[in-house]
Amino acid sequence: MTFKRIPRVGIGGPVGSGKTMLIEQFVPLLSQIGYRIAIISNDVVSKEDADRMRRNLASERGLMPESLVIGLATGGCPHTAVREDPSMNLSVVEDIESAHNQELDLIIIESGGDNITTTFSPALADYFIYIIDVAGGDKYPRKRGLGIENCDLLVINKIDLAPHVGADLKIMERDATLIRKNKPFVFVNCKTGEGIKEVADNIVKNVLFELPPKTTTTKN
Amino acid sequence: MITVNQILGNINQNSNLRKKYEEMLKNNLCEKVLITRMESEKLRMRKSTDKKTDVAFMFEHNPNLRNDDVIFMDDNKMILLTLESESVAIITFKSYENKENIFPLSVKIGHTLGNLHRPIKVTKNQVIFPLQAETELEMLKKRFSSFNQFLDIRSDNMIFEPDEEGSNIHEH
Repeated sequence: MTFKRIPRVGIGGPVGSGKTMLIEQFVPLLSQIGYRIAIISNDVVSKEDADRMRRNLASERGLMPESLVIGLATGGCPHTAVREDPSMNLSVVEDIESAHNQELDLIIIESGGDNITTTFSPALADYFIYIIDVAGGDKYPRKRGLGIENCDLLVINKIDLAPHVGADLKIMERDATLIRKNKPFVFVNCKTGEGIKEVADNIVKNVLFELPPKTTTTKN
Repeated sequence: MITVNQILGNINQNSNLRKKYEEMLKNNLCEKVLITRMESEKLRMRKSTDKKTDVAFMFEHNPNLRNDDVIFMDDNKMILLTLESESVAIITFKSYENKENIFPLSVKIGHTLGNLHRPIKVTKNQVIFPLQAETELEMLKKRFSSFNQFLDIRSDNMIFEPDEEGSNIHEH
């Protein structure tokens, strides 16, 4: 069976938690393997994050064409554009799928910053990464919420700040283990790249099913 | 890795599959994949069965996966889905005798559940929906305390499969 649908990863989390930087960190690792990637970045009124990723990942590092980093200024509450009415995102995804089905392996959809109940519509994203940061306090995982509890991978960022904000990573680990049962979580530092390989490995295993990049198996 | 892109049927609705399942179960050839209700709408995911078989789900459209769906079968193996049970609230109409209360009560229940953005399952005299916290049950009991003689509100743990028209609802 031939699938037109390109696998999709949704990234959600509060404002400033590190969604954009997480993408900037794991995309080069996936590109190194040979996977070709497009990014859709949602924001409320600006296209700030998309512009930054286009500059860092496409213009400067050449990891993707500039046209495949797309900014969406959605207006309204950010979660509405990835869950209640994902039509704006779906329309962009479908355009990408029509034009790049033969070579693209993955589409990343970044939500605008939102609260702990953020989730992605399963019609939009196949795999949902929720990112929080240590600076919000070590209570964060046990505050629960659909994003923290039900995402496919919980990423806890800015671990280097723990001693400066009085956060105990052991408490966060204990609570995340308890609340997420057998679902994975990973501590990262998006500034240094610590823990990022584990995020990339999760995507390769659970979204890309460890299949080789399309460009190594298809003729253009 | 076994790739699944269609459902072969459900053993509760297909008597041939049920018969085959019972035969294979006797021979210890059945395996189960445990998924959550939220995962039942996923188009792509990777899971392991209880016997560690690696399974990749790849669908083009919402598969609306159900408990006891058969996702794979050959001579040596049958793989079925099991939906994880979850905490639910069950609101039961105890009496329809006082008809003047039925309309306002139904509207108030609908309004409350609508604001919670929950999927629902409606039976002849019950509405069932998932709870996110046990404290929600206390909130419901308090809100509907003036209708105690008509309503019973309790929680339970069960496999929750929403009515189809109510399954495509976000929760928060």
